[in-house]
Amino acid sequence: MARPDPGETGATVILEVFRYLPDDEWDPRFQGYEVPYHSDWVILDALNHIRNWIDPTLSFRWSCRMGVCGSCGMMVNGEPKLTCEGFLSEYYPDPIRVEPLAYFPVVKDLVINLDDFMAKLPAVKSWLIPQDPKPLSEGEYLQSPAELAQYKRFSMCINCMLCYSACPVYGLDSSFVGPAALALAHRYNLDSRDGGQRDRAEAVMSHEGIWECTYVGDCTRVCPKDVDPAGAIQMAKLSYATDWVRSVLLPGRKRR
Amino acid sequence: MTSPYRSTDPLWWLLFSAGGVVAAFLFPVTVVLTGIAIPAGWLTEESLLALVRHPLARLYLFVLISLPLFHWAHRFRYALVDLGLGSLGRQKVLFYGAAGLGTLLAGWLLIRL
Amino acid sequence: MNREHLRVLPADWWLRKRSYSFFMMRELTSLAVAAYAVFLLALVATAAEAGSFTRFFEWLRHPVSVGLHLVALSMVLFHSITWIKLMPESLVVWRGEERIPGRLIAAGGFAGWIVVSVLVAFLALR
Repeated sequence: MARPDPGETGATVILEVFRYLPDDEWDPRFQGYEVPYHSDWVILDALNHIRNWIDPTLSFRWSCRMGVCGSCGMMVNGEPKLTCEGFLSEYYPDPIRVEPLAYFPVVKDLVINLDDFMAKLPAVKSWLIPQDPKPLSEGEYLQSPAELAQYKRFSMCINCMLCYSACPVYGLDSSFVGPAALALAHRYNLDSRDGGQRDRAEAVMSHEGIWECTYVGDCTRVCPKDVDPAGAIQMAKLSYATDWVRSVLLPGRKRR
Repeated sequence: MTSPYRSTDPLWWLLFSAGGVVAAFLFPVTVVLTGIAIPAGWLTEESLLALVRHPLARLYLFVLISLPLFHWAHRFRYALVDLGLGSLGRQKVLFYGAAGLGTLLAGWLLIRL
Repeated sequence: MNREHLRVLPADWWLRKRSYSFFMMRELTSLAVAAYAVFLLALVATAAEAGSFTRFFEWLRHPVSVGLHLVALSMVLFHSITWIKLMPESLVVWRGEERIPGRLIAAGGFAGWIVVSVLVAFLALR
């Protein structure tokens, strides 16, 4: 879908950018910017061009510009996307609508408040809770490649929150723990060194946890790192449901 | 704070899943039997009457009535919440109760057959 | 004072994106599932109370009944196909370091579906 670089032809593309400037005005609006079109530019390049040459008041987050930091997520034509991974050529010559990530409060322009997500990461205890803890002097925890493979996919999350912006359940209820946090919890539950499934139950097995997910599946569709959070949540539902049956039939028996 | 293991959420999800499997694997052929085979004359009154009295057929019918009702109850509840009718979707008793009633009725009728 | 701008999910959110509409249609197949379960309950009630299927069969031969059955069949098939396709997401199978592709598990599911359907039809119609 890439078109040849027009070079000196002066081709341009319009970006319709969401503006919200609470210091000056209450109502958000869209502002159109005409940006030079280059076939090797991504939307982030266009945004930086706007900021550097057209309108220095535009605010947005970005960092690595290569799809590993998770900072530059925004809504592009209504779809959550990493703006460093969306090429202008995918949209040219049509105008491109850029908005802040959906379902998060907007602080200014394209910058969202992500406190809710940041609170959910520790809430699901997204760290290793060793099954058989041992002191450092006894050496490292060993893990085979097969054991690593079990959870590796779910460890690739870059916390970009595109999945939250794709999830209508989160859009309807921000107390929903959400795709990334639940997938991360499952990553640790699957880790052979970990024994914390029941410790994570408080957040993951709560009514706002895995049970609120209705398997829309859009989170997996938009994930830039192919984590498949929807799959992780479905696995977690089965895992926690069987664990629940175990806890009902054999109360008092500690899991694992 | 009560332990999450005391909640009934996993139970309703398990029933939803079981009902989903039953409906997925067994409903299409059963719909074809009642909707096409009977009008076409491939299944007569007498043979169906004899069939439903068979203990395995009674079990089949019980499973095909009870579990899919629980599947509907769970899925439709959440669909109502997703459609913005959240207050309706939060009335668990309405949905699981209806499925439970259907289950009891099916069991009672099938025993009496 | 909190000056953050809050955007509300529109009530017709599920009509605005194809993936969302597909999801909602899939969920609403549960209505057809419940309707047919109730129909089976009526079938059982007829056998238990009346002891005869004459009136019931007359109704089943009516074009409206056939029409309703075809509508139910399409919704129930939609449920079956989406359900079996999604089964591999929760039933993950490993062989060493490789995960057995979901497509294969789904294919197994579809094969099992056909086998079970043929078996039921055979037992009912012989």
